[in-house]
Amino acid sequence: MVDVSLTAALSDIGEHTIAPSRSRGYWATVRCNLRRDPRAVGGGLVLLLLVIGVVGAPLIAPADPYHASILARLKPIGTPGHLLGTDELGRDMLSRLLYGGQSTFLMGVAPVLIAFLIGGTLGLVAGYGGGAINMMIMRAMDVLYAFPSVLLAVALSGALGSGIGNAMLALTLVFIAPIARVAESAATEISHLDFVDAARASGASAVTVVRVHVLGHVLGPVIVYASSLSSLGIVLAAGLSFLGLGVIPPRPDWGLMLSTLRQSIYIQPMIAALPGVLIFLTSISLNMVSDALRDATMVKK
Amino acid sequence: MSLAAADSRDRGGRAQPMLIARALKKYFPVRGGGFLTRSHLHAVDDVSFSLGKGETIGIVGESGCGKSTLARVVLNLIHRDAGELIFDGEAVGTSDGITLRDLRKSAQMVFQDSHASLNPRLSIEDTLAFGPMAHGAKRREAVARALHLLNLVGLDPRRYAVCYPHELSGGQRQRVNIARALSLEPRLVVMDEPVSALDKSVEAQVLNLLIDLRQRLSLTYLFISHDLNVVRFISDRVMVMYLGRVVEIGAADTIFRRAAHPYTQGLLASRLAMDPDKRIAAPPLSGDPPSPIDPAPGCRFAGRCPFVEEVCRVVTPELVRHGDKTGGKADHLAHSERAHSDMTHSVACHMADAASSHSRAGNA
Repeated sequence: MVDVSLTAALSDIGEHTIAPSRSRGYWATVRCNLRRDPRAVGGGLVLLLLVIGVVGAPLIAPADPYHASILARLKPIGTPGHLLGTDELGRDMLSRLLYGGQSTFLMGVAPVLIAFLIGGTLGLVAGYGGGAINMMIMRAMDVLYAFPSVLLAVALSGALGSGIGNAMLALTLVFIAPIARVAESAATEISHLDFVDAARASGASAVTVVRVHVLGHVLGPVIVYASSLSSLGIVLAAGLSFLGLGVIPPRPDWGLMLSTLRQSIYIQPMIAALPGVLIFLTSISLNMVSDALRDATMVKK
Repeated sequence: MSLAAADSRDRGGRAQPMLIARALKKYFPVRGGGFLTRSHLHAVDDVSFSLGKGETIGIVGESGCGKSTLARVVLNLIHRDAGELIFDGEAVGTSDGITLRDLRKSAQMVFQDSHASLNPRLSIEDTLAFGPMAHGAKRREAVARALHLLNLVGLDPRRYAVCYPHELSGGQRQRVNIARALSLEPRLVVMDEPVSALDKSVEAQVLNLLIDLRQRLSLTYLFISHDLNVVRFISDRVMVMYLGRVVEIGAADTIFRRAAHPYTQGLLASRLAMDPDKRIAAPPLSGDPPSPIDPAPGCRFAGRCPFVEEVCRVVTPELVRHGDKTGGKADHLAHSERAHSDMTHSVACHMADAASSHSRAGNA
């Protein structure tokens, strides 16, 4: 028995010393770091639950979110048949919260994704191109930057009229400039390193050089920044709906529900706070994940 | 000097220099000066030379004298403001000359900072495969070639191919950089201080590797360094630069034995003597070089030169053939017609020009 375990141990050592160690690439390291970070795991779990609930709303929701009942108005949390009570028109809160997350998530996250693609590309081109190209793109971004982001979103969706589409368009425009700026500074920094010059000296086309040598370094900081923006996006989307510039009633939406339940705050404060609690949970989970992502991508080599 | 063997890639013939540079200029606009006016940093100012096939020219000078800018201008990584570049008989940057893609294949560069010049996100084999793949090689061929290149520069491919740059030492990284420069089978390799960041024992290994590769692959080197001993070791000819201008050029032995320009003499005297008794206390060169931004007319070295006279501050000295009492100008335009082993010793100093009004003219 002893012999067997000894040979096993020896062969184990032998394998470690002889086999060429293939080290992990950058993104594998990032993934490993994330898995060890309690913020990423905790925040990710909460987000996952929220997304499952919101996306699976038609399957999970116990009642029709549009079904109103004059008799069952503002029932407290825990009422039989209405787990989270009812709102000011007697509609089931749990169902409305599940369905309401759909528009909030869509309005909060989709603009960040679109802005990530547009702003990231603009920033990459500006940073790698430098000179006059950089000047033109970044000064155009500065014009967008000149307005406070909340004000710009409110003004744009106010001018375009309410509705999910217009609110998303407004939020996208708000997020392009800051994402472009982050991408530009990362791309500028990388483009001045010798390995980019070496890649250019090899005769590869600009697109190939950017794809292989620049993109990977820019993606990290931009993804981190975009993930932190998506929590702002959720809050802004809810804010626009709260102001009546986003989702149109009776469609459920967390921001809109917060606005209409406002009047009931003295009668059923717990019910009135529920959409706010979900917005807070989503936003803080996104922030935690993005913080963890930021630390995980800062691999010192 | 090794005469390059007949090479199938040779377009201009054996006597045609690998590279001819004529009156290269690169000025960088800088902020400052007056309102609405722009100052210019004269990084490379009127530099001409010809580099024969299989030859190595060492470029020496202090930090900031334009050596690295010259390297990048030669490879068209920075566009020159004026002047001509002729690569193996074909003009660079004109419609009827060599294409940029062909130039990039034939002329490569090794950078000083072995760390910054390797992409930290790519494994060594991916770094080495990038160039060939950009020129249309399949990934499998390119990787096979990368392994071969690692062998060539003395790194075990089985061990290092899958490593990332941070896992390698400075000397190993510089070997990878050399391998990368060779991955496209270039004919000219521009070395921008390739051994300056290495410690002495590794420096010797890398220098020997470079000399070995030059022989085996019939390479031509443009070797930039501030280390005179290194330059003497590897170069056939030496070109001394000061503030963007060539002050002296000639065969390595001539420069090291009979330097004519006071700046070159100062540089040579500033080397540490091996004999402690011969060491000097006073620095042979004092002060800092003047600002390269819109330099004053006259000799750039006038402010630090021990032999400065009135003429030095007024007239800019031109490169003249040293020891030529008639004061004939060294004619760069005639370089291309001359044999590639042009060992003419030329100096840009009024003391070397009998026609100037310097009191020491002709005696130097």
